[in-house]
Amino acid sequence: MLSYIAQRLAQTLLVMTLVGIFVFLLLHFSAGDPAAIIAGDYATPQQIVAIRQRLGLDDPLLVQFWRWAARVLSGDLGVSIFSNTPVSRLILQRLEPTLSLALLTMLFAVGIAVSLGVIAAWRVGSLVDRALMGFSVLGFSMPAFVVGYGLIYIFAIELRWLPVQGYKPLADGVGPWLLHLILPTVTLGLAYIALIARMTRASMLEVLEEDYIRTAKAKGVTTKTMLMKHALKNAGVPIITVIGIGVALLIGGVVITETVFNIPGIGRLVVDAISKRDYPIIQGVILLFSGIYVLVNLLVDLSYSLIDPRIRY
Amino acid sequence: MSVITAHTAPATLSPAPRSLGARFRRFARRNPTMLLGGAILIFFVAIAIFAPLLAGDPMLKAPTRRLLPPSAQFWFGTDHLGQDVFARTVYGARVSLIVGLSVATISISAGLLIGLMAGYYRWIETPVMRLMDGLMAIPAILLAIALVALNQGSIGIVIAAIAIPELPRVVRLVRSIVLSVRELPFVEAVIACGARTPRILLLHIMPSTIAPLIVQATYICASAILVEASLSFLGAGVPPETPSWGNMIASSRLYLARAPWTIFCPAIALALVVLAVNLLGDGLRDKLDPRISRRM
Repeated sequence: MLSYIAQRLAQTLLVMTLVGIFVFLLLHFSAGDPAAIIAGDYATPQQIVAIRQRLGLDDPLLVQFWRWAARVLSGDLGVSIFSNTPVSRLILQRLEPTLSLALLTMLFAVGIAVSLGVIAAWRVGSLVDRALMGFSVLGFSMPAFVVGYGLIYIFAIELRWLPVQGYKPLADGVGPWLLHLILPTVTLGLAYIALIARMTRASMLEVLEEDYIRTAKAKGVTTKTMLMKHALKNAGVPIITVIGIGVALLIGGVVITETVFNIPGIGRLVVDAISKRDYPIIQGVILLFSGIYVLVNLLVDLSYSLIDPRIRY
Repeated sequence: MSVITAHTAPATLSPAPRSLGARFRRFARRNPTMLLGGAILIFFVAIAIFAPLLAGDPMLKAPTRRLLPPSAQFWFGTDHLGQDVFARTVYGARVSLIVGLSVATISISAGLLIGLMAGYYRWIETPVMRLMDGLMAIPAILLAIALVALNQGSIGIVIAAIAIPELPRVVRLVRSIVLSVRELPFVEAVIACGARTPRILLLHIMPSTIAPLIVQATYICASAILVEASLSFLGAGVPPETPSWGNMIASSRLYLARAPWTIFCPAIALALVVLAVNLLGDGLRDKLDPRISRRM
């Protein structure tokens, strides 16, 4: 077990190093001079030369990478070109909305998706099952901004039940916070629900055909115990895996959902940085989000033996 | 995925009917989703090809006719610049379909090449696969945003930026097939006959990858259309004046309450096309890869 953990940690470290190299090289292998990109469209040649010297862009690539990596490892993600503020501070300022949205969505989506998947597998071929399969194809086909504007139009503009846009911090009270997060959570969660529900159904279908399920039914276990204890627990590993992989979907979705609902989170930070070509921000957020994604999947891998005692390393 | 026999229907029990019409009816009865997806897709491809015949000028701005609701003259109304939403929606099909097809073609062919090599030559396998792991760890939309933001946004850059994050999945798929096929006796026989490596790879191993790759290509196409629209929506896609569905939604978002047609017309078109490609993919998967059909 310990050697497995060590092996997975080493793998994770390698992947993160590669991500770092990619992110670093992106700036250097893009069309044009990195100094000119950083200086922006209206910079004078002198300004570009100054930036080139300040950032040490004339040094060998390896030296530059080493310097950059050392800085990133100490938590310094660089300074925003536009606002001249450290990127790490900008990210911290915007952490709460993004974290609220992402965690609430995960909670809501996993709960709904797993129950839907279990019911669909239990009553395979039924109306519920077919409705779920239809919904999941739809969930994969609707971009988050289409869902978002649809929901805003129906529930905020026509029915006036919920606020149109914006975010209220938790400090202002749980009620307003939750009220502003309902539509964004549904928007962000739809594709995630589709993904997890499909996997739950598939995994459950396989387990429900096992002999021990027939045995459980024969000895008179209630349906609920049979489904939740005997089947779902054994179907857990693929479900947890897809919950982890789906975090990539959430990260992409956060950027879009925050734009649709005008939520001042990390996603908005990136989108605002695109038009200003504020590259250090884009770089920092990619590193952060990739790091979270890799970490979540590491935890998922390590959790397998907790969920399923048959898995030993 | 082990117990499958119960679900795979006996596909070749009844003899194929003779006439073309009868064969089509039988195909439609067995593959309703594929037919529906194919029909919607053909409709949009036709619209994209014949756009100049169907719609007026998508770029024409006329301040006198701003935010008009749908009417006989403007089927989908007009937007805040007085542009014809119907014309822009019709022309938007071109951008989406070109991006979807190009990304699928590029990522499948590049992934096939890399995957074949990585599966066959042990010494490239590890570095290539670790590289793919690294690429996979970066969320696709963010990677594409960075690539587009660094280069001047053009349709070519957008296609490359969407195709690169799709690469690892294709490489992994191809590699796993190569790994299982290369151990089969017929490959051993070909090697024993003295065939050279390129011949083995192209003539004897590659055919096994084609069916799963066709299925994968449709899913990549669907996801590329979604990502292109998302990138355009976020301002990191094709140039803003280009009539693409993502651009239309982005530029109209302040008028959601006053002129919902400016957003929902391109949005419905976008969702329909992606749905069609996904349905086609599901149908193809059931046909070409019966091992996993019915389950996912």
